[in-house]
Amino acid sequence: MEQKKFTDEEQIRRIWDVEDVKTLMHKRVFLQTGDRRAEELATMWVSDPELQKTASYGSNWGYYVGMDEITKYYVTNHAAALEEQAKANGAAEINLGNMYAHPLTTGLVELALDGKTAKGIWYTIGNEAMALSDGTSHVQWMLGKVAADFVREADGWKIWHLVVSIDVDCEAGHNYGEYPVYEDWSANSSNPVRKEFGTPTVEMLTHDVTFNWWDDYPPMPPKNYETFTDEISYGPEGYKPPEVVGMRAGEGRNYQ
Amino acid sequence: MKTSYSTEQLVDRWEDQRDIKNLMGIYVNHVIMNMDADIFENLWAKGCDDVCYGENEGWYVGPNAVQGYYNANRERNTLVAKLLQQKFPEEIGDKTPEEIFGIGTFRVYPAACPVIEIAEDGETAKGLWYCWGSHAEVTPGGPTSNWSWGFFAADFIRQGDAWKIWHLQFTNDVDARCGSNWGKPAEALPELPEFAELKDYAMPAYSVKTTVREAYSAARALTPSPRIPEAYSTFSETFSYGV
Repeated sequence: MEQKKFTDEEQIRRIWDVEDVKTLMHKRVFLQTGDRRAEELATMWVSDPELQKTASYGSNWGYYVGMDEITKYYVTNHAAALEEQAKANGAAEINLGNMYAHPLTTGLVELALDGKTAKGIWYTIGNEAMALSDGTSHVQWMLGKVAADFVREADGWKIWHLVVSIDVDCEAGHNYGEYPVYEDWSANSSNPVRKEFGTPTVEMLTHDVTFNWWDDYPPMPPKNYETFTDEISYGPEGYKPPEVVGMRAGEGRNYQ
Repeated sequence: MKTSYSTEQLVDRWEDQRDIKNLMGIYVNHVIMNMDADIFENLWAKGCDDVCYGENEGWYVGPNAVQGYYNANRERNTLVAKLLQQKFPEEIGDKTPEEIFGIGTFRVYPAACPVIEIAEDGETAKGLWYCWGSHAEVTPGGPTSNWSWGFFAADFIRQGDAWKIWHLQFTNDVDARCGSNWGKPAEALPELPEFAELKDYAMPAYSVKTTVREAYSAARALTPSPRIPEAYSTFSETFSYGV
């Protein structure tokens, strides 16, 4: 694509746009430490009603689509699970003994040439601790890609489509090379990360970690893209099956 | 971000936030290289009586106390090197203290996820970073290595043409032995006589002993990160990361 010419003022604005997108995602990391999910959706995600309809939150097992569905999964169901946990643990408050740490690194952000949208991808090496009734906690490493589409709204950049694509989840102190190759990734799975994702609006396997299949999902953002199209979306409309064997070969988790 | 900045001001402010990121990168590299004794002179504000460095359990306040903290780290590193030299006389017994300085101590605390706010007046700035790192050190129980999960939160002040650290918190949620599960009780390492001298080595007392951040345990209430920086015009109108 031919490089578009920008004025000095446009150039520095675009440089700041990239900084602002990165800062938005970094602030999200710090909100996550406080489990401030409702605040995140209210302040960091799209507010335009039309965009809210197509907003999505994806993971290895599909996508929640629309802010109502995202809120139900990300806030309402999560709060119910926390209430249940507190009750089981005899805890006086929710989240007692829990910890959420999902820091991002290796940020790669592309701003559309029209300046209306941006796309980014990061890697996260995180961990979560969930308190147990015996006074200890279950701690798990969580490694994966985090990708997002962003839209410029009147008060700044907002998240439109988000994908948290998990490569590794394993208990702290364990060797993840020794985990079973095959695992049940259906909604009935006992895996805590799969279980937490519930039944998304669009249920599909987007990222299969069995054997570490190469599936290039989520892909890197296209360089110098002119304007946003569904084809490059990190929402379900942009998902493409892998072009190489592996996940398509009918092997691996959850493939019948 | 305020939208009324001129193109030149936007460039200057972009350079400011880059310089602040670099300053923290230099800080982290000083620690990796065990250059603790140089940190205060090279990176901290001068002429400010309220400089302070905070850890989970307290604050060092004032230039002498902050410099004293870094000096104590250097002295401990010197002692560790001496004990390792005594332990391995054939391998490193003939080395000078300068040649063996820093052996046995490896601390890497990468600074990630920066959120930086520069005051509208350009005189101060605030930054928050996530740090997931690791440190390998010699303890009275011998060499050990830990995962470390925590935060850098700092106020910066412009002095001349450079940004300097004014107030700094470096606090942890997790400081757990590699290969362990920090949701379960940790087993103490049995003491080894060759490293017993380290038991008597104490860091300087805090200027202010207080809980700056409670470390993670299964009994801890959910504890958010240090406060996220917010846009501000001048330092008196925002909060301080200091004591």
